[in-house]
Order: sequence, then structure tokens, then C-alpha cells
Amino acid sequence: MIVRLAQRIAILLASLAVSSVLVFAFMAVLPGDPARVALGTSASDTAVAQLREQFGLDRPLVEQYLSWIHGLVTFDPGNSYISHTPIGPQISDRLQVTLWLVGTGMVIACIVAIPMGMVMAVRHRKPSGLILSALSQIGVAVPAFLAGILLITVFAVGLGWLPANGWTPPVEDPVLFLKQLVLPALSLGVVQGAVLTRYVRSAVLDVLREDYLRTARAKGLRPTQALLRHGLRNAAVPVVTVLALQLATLLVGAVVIERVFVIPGLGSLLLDSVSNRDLILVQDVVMIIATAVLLVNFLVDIVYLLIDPRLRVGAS
Amino acid sequence: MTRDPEVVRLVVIPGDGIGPEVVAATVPTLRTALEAEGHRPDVTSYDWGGERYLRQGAAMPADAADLVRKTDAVLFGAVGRPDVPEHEHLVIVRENTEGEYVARRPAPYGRPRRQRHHGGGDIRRPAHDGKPGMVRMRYTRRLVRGTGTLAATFACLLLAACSAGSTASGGTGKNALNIGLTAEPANFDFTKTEGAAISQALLYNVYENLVKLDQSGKIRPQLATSWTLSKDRKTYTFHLVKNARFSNGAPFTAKDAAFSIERVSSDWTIAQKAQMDVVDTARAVSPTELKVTLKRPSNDWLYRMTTRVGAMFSRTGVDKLATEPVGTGPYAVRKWNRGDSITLARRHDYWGREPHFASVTLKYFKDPTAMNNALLTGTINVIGTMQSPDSLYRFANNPKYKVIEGTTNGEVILSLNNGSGPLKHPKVRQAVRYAIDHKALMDTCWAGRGKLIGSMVPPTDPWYQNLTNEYPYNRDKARKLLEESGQAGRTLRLRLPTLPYATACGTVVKSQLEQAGFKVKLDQLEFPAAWLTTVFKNADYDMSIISHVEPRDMQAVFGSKTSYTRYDSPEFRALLKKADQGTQQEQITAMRAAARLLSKDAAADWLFLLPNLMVANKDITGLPVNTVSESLDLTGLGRS
Repeated sequence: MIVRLAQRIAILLASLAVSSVLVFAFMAVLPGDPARVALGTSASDTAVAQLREQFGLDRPLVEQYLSWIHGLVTFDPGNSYISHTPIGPQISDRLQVTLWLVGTGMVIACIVAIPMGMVMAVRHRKPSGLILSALSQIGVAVPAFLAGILLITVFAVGLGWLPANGWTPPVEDPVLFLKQLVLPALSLGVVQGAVLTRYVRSAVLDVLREDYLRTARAKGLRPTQALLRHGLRNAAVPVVTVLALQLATLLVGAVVIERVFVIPGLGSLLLDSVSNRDLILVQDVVMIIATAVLLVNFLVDIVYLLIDPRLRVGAS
Repeated sequence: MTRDPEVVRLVVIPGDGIGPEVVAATVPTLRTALEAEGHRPDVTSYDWGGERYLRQGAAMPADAADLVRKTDAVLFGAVGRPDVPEHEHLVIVRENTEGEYVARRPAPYGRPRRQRHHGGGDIRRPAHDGKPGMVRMRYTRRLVRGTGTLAATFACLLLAACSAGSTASGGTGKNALNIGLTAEPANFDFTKTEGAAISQALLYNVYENLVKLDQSGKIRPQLATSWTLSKDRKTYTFHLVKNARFSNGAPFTAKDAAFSIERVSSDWTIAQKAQMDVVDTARAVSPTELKVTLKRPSNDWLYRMTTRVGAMFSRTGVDKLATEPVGTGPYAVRKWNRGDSITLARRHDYWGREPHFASVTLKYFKDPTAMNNALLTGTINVIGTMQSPDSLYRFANNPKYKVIEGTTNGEVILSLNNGSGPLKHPKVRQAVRYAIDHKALMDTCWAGRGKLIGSMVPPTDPWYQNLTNEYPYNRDKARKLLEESGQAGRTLRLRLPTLPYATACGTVVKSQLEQAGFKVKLDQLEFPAAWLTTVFKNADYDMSIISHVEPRDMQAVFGSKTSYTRYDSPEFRALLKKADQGTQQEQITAMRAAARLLSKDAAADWLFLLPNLMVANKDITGLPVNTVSESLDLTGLGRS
């Protein structure tokens, strides 16, 4: 187990190092001078040169890279080129918003998908299973933003139960926060849940065909009991993989939902900074996302170990 | 029945197939376990099962029940062979004192029938439906540990995010107003950052000027109570208010005014700074008197003093313009929730008349529908700029809302590259103008809202004239002109910025031009960065569509051959110069002539004037009908 863990941590660190070099290199070779972009089309050359010096863009690349990494590691990435405000708080603010949104969405997805997928698998040849299956196909086909628009039309504009959009930090007004969270989290959750349901279904179907499940049944467990006791954990491994992939995608992919519901999340920050050509901010956000994805994968590996004892034994 | 409690009697039935193998491994384990618990195992093995059936015609002997009944436990291996009918196999049902456990081989597969079986310790043959009774088993242990771990991970992530988006959004209550807008400022420093968003939010609200524009476009006192112009029209003397203070506490004096005017040439970087080039000196005569001497007479200069270049800064408050603007205005920036909103709070030490609303939040929406929904559900009180005129019907017939429709300074023009490519030829440009049916175009792409003006001058300027009849829609004439020019075969690149009106109108322009025989290739450039570099700076285009929202922008767009229109006309420049230096009447005459010249030369095609479309709750008063200045003036707003 410990060897496994150490391996995983080493892989995580190595991937982080490589991705940071890639992100930096990519930004460095991008055409266009960030200082000129920041100052606009009519800036004088002296103004641009001043700004280059201020940003440290006139120093050697290696030095720039190291100071960038130093800034990231010490959680002090400096100021944005465009808004002239510290980047750290901007990113952490946006990241927290996105985490709430995506986290709640994924919890809803799990709540929807795990029971639905199991029922669909157990009843896969029966009318009830087919109906559920068809429903989930519709869910897969509907993009999250459309679900969001429909939810807004019905529950916000139509019935007036919930606000149509906006964001309030939980510390400030927990009730309003929850009200505003419901619709976006539902639109993410239901659609992601539909996708996840398909995976749960096929994973459970696979498990149902396994010998050990028949053995469990042979011991006298009812199908549901056997599935819950022996099947679920085995079905969990592929499902967790998909879950992690969805989670990683959603960190930025929630941007459309963020736009529909006017939520200041990480995805919109990235979009805005790209369109403002705030390259240092883009670079930092991309790196944060890369880190998040790697971290999620790392956590998933750990979760595998927890779920599947065979992997634990395999290492020692 | 008496027997040694230490002795545990076991019957072992290894059975068929893998059974004997499994049992052979299990028995020693069982034996060790029992011995460790202080029991003495007594193991008897029977060969019952499918093999025995094949050999002897029965899976188990007739006295099987007696043989097993007296034992403490039966260890089963596997029973069953494919070549033996299932119901011929032995079945043993055995129950402990608590009435639990079932043992049956072969194990049933499929849905069992729940049924309490009867009689203690019984061996029976299966019923011929092959569905003997089964008894419930207990299962309690760690059902779903994997799921639990996942949930815990989420919980941690969520807990970590408790202060998510730590800055607040809109205010509530009767003294607060929330206005929905589209373009969010990148920062608060309009001295170094281009674009209209910053001055829209800050000018007249946070920053004040010496003079401001009122709703009718007239220049009115703000920080200057009055001003005089010398006979040679070169020296302005401003008398300033006495009691104005900046939000950093410093008093506003003529020295600050001189500092602000001089700072434009020394520190500003935006294109508009050139509008202050005409200033020779700015001098504080006394704390309340400022003398500005111009290099030459200029009508335009005083007008520009109402725009961002005329904003008054504190000598001690320009260090952090990007984040902490310091002005004399009635509002100060209280909170900026990036990507979401800016909250302005009323200043208690404001020198002038206090505005009605104590707090105004400017909320920024990239999606027009989201902004409409925000008004419909009460998140905002006003839609400051309606970006989807086709959805006005949602408010128009609703007594809760009022719709305001006026004019802006935003001339949507089809810009033509006068300097290179096919459009260098006047006849091609004229053909373009004849080929466009402006009424149909505006109806299609902006729901018929807006005004056809046919020139670069909006109706709120003193020299406005309707020039829509200069190039009336005439497809045949366009076709003829195009043929005469000899450029008919060439493709025109229509390079659009990614803005709602541009993309909406672009396809209409393309199809109208194609109907008149043009070849048009359409592409989109990301706005602002890509479009600004490619079209606005490098003029790498033939046609584009953009709304020029700056007030009185004829000079900026067409007055220099380096501007992106590449329009080069000494006659036009002379007219502008004459207008700037002459009397008011001369200014109007010359500006009209200049606008007509632009139109005649087909320097561009003026598609329409963007409407000022606002939707607001019925009780909001003081909303401007026309957008005249660069500012969204909040000081006159109220609630009835």
C-alpha cells in the first residue's frame, strides 16, 4: 500500500513538473507581446518597454519560469497584466465558486445515477428498465445549458420559486446561496447523472454476470442484497474512473452553465482572461486546472486502492 | 441424546467437479479453527452427488436424512453435473436453532421464492419445479465503503469552499438599485485601458469633470460653476466649486484640475489622449480659478472636457487607478466582484446634491437572455443595455415594466478599407452603398429597433442631418457601378468582430451584396483582441461591421489616413479644422459639410444607429432616454 502510494505521489509530482514546463513554453511561444496587448493598440514603445520591465518580461526565459513557479508554490502569483490586481485571490475566489457548483452537481449526479443505473441493469430486459434507459438516453442527449434554460424557464421565470441566476457566497446569505445553487447544480447534475447512469448500468450488468455474484446468490442473498453487498464495490471501479473524468472536465466545462446562470466561476475567468489577452492569468488558470486534473486522478488512484483490496495486495 | 459437548460432528459432502478440491482445502482449515476454539472435530465424508447418481442411480442414499440429522454441521462442496437432471440432485435443507441457514445443492439460480420452510433438520428431495424454499440471511457489514470515501472527498472539497466568491453581489432594499449591463471593465484605469466600459461605470458617478453633458447634449457646469472664453477663443477661465472633496479626503482645487489636464499628455496611453494635445498650458490662478490656454482655438476641446479625458483626479490619488479610483463624485467604488458586479456606494461627504440611491450595483451579463431573466425574477431593476431587441415582447406588454427607447452615439457602420484592395476604387464603395437595403437589414438583424441616419452624426449632435437619401437602395445601379469599376470578379473579405449586432448583420450584408453581384467571403475575428489587431490596427480587411460608440467620432474614424478606414481626404480634414476653430454657427455648417463629404465619397456605409434600449421596473425614474455622454449617469435616478 505504501509503495503504491509513494509511486502515485512520484507520478503526480513528475506530471506537475512536465505540465508546468509545457504550459509555460506554450505561453512563451505564443505570438504577441503581453505588454503590448495589455496596453492596447495605441501605446507608445516606451510605455510597452516600461511595462515589460515591470512584468519581468525582459529577463531570460528560465528565470521567468522559475519566478513563475516560485510564485505559484508560495501562493503569490503576482498581479494580473490587465486588471492590475493580485491573481491569487482572483483564482481562489473563482475556484471556490466552481467547486461548489461542480461538487454539488456531481453529488446530484451520483444520487441520480447510482440507483438508476442499478435498477436499469437489474431490469435491463423489462419494460421498466427500457423506459429508464430511454430516459437516460434523453438525458445524455440534452446539453447542460439547455437543461439550465428549461429549468430557468419553468422554475424561475414561470413559477418564480427560485432566482433565475446570480451568485451569493454562502457566508453572506446561506439561504440565497442555496436558492441560487439549486438550478445550476441540478442542470449539471441531471445531465452528468444521465451520462453516469449509462456507465453504472453497464458496470453493474458486467458484475451481474460474474461468478461471485452467483455464489453470493447461492449463499442465499436476494439479488438486491447480493448486488449491494458484493456487486457495488466491484462495479465502482469503472464508475469512479468516469466520475473523475467528468469532474476534471467540469472544472472548466461548467463555463456554459456559469454563463447561463451568471456565475463567476473558473471557466468564465479563463474565457475572460483569454479574450482580454491577460496572458499571465491564462497561464496561471491553465496551470491550476492541470493541477486539479492531476490531483483528481491521483485521488482516484487512492480511491481505487480503498475500493479494491486486490490492488493493495498487488503492490506488496 | 447425550454426547460430548467438546466433540463437533461434521458431515462433509465434497460433491462433484471442483467440490472435492475445495473441500480438501477447507477441511484442514475448519479443523484448525475448531481445535483453536477447544472443540474436537469428528469428520465424516459422503460421496453424494451427481457422480453417485450416475454410478448408482441415486444422488444420495435413502437414509441420508438420518445420517445427517445427528451431526452439528454439514460442509458442502459443489454438487451438480450438466449431464444429470437438476431435480435428481440431492437437496439438503438444514436449519440451526435460530431457524436460519439453508443448504441446497445445486445452488438455485434465478429469482427465488420467499418462503418459510418448515420442520427442523430435514432432508428432502426437491420439488419438481426446482424451487425449494429459502431463508433470509443476515448481511450487515460495510456495504458501500467505496461510495463513502467518495462522498467524504466531496465533502472536504465543499467545506474548503465555504467562502466561495468572497465578495458580495447586489444590494437589496429600497435604497439600492441593481442595473444589468453587458461589458465589464477590465480594471478601473481608463487612462491606460481602452474601451467604453470603465467610463460608462465611473464617469460622472465616481469621477467628475469640470463640465458635463446633459440629456439634450448641452455642456453644463459640474466642478466648474462657470467659465469664460477669451476673445481670441484660445483661453478658457474656469471658476471652480469651493467645497468639493475627493473620496480620499483631499480637497479639490484648481491645482488638481491643472494636474489632471497636464497628466493626460504625460501619463495616459489610450488613443483619446490626443484630444488634449491642443492644450498649451493649464494654470491654477487661485484655488478656485483655472486658466487653460490652447495652442489654437478649439470648439471640440471643451466638449472633450465632458468625456473621460476631462475627468478630475486627485494629486494624491493616482497611485492605484486600476483598483482604487479616487474622484470627487457622489459615489465611490465599494466592492468589485470580478466577473460579476461592481457596487458603488453613496458618499456621505459629497459636495453636491446627494443622489437618491445609497447603493448602486452594476451587474454584468454576457448572455442577453440571462439579463432578461434577472429582471423578470427581480435580481436586477434595470436592463441598462438591451442586447436582444427581439425579446422586448417579454416586457413591452407587461405593466410591471417600462421600455425606454432612444438614441445612442453608436453608429453601426459597414467600414470599408479606402486604402487598399477592391474598395480603394470609389465606384466599388458606391456600389456597396447602393446594394444595401438598410430598412430590411435593420428589421432583420436588430428587430427594426434603431434609427437609419446615413451618416456619422447621431441626432443628439447639433449638426445632425438625415442623409439616408444619399444612396437609396438600388440594386441595378449597384450592379452597374460594380461592372464599370472593373473589380467585379474580386472577392471582398467581410471580417466581423464577435459581437451580437455584427454577427447578426454580417450575414444580411453578405447576402444583399451577393444579390448585387459581389463576391463576399465572411469570417469572424474574436473581439476585442483579434479584431483590434487585425482590422483596427493593421487594416487587414476589406469590410467590417462595428459600432463606433465614442461621441463625435468623425475625426477619430476618418480624420487621419492612418486610421483603420484609411480614408485620406485633405478636404475633409480642412472642414474639421474649420469647424473646430470657428464660431458655433461655423462649426455646425462645417461639420454638416464634412458629414456630407464622407457620405458622398462612400468612405463607409452607415447601417443604422444603435438604439438606447432600456427596460426597467415601472417605479424607477430618471433613466436617460438617449445615451449622449460616455457615462451611465446614475445621479439623476430615483424611485417613485
